[in-house]
Amino acid sequence: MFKVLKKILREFVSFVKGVNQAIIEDSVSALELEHNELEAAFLTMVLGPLVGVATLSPILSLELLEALKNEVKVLESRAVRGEDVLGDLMASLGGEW
Amino acid sequence: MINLVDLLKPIEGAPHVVMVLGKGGVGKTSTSILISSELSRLGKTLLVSFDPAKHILKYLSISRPAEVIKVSDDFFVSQLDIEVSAKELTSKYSSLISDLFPSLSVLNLEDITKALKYAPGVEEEVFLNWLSSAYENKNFRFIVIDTPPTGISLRTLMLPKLYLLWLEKLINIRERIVSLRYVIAKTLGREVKVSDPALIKLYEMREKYGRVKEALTDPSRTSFVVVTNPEPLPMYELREVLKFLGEELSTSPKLLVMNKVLPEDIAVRLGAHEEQKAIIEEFTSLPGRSIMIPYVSNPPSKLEDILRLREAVTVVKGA
Repeated sequence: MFKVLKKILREFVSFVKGVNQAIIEDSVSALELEHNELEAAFLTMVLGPLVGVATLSPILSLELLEALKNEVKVLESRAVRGEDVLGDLMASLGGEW
Repeated sequence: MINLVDLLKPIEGAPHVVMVLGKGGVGKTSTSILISSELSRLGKTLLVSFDPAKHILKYLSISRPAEVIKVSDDFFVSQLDIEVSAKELTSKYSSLISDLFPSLSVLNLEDITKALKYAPGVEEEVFLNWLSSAYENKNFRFIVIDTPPTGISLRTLMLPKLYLLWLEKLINIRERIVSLRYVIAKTLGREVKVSDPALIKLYEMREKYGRVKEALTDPSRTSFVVVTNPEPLPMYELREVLKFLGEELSTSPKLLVMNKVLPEDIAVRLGAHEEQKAIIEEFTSLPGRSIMIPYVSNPPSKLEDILRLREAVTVVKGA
């Protein structure tokens, strides 16, 4: 009897842990999605003036460039993957498609 | 003889910047020399000319533009070439772009770097950069600026306000990015890196342009002098400058200068008497301190000629 109760309790704890982990993963995914979107928006604003989109002064954008060196590299690598935009979007939404 | 310094008070800020504005050809350079010479009696004064016609080189017999040349004991002068400075500024960024992003050549974007000096706002940026460093210059007690054409000058004076708006937006987004990174890293138990070079740079830029904006609107740090002639177009530009200063910077000029006023008999002979009279009436009705400088038959061509003009200056409205 005690063994059965212990097993049920252990399974319940595992279930709660699993749910907790799923919630954390879901939350982190949502936060990462927002983070990536904001990063893309920020870089678009900063790099826009260099390609003719007047989002801000070209000089402000140039002054910021050095501090954004690493992010521009990430942006470039994302641009390479940009061929499968739909796939990326579906992947970012999670679940099976 | 009038005391021009009294008409510019308060002038406590160190350095105190005097910006001489007005339409091309009205006598901004002569007025700047006159004011600089007066101020140099109180302390070390630097006159910087952004005048594209480079008249100052002729007036002060300077052969080396861009360098600071000593004219007399405490009177120094420098002629800046806005186009050359724009080229220097953009070439610095061009090499930075090429170094940072060699991949741009793959995308055929490296030509952007060559065209940067023609980008909108570069001339204004050169002027603003210079202005920002002028307020930090501790070598001079006074800095007098013979400004570039009115369009560039007014756009430049507007830039700090505009830049601060842009920077606030960028800072808001960047702060959110950094806080999201922090939360994600903390949640996943990763190492957290709080400092962000881009955010630090944004804060630095906000401080820099905030300081310039504040200095421009502080009468003890900046004096605006507007020069005009008794002609419709220079008067029109004077009204535009006054409107701009009032609406955008919430300030007003310390001194208005009506230059090249024709003696009455000559004005009558030229048929310009009525027009000149009407313009002068309007000028005298404007608020603030103002002076008039008569037209001289031989245009000033050297420092002594300009300094002699001081004897002919009359005060329309004093302190």
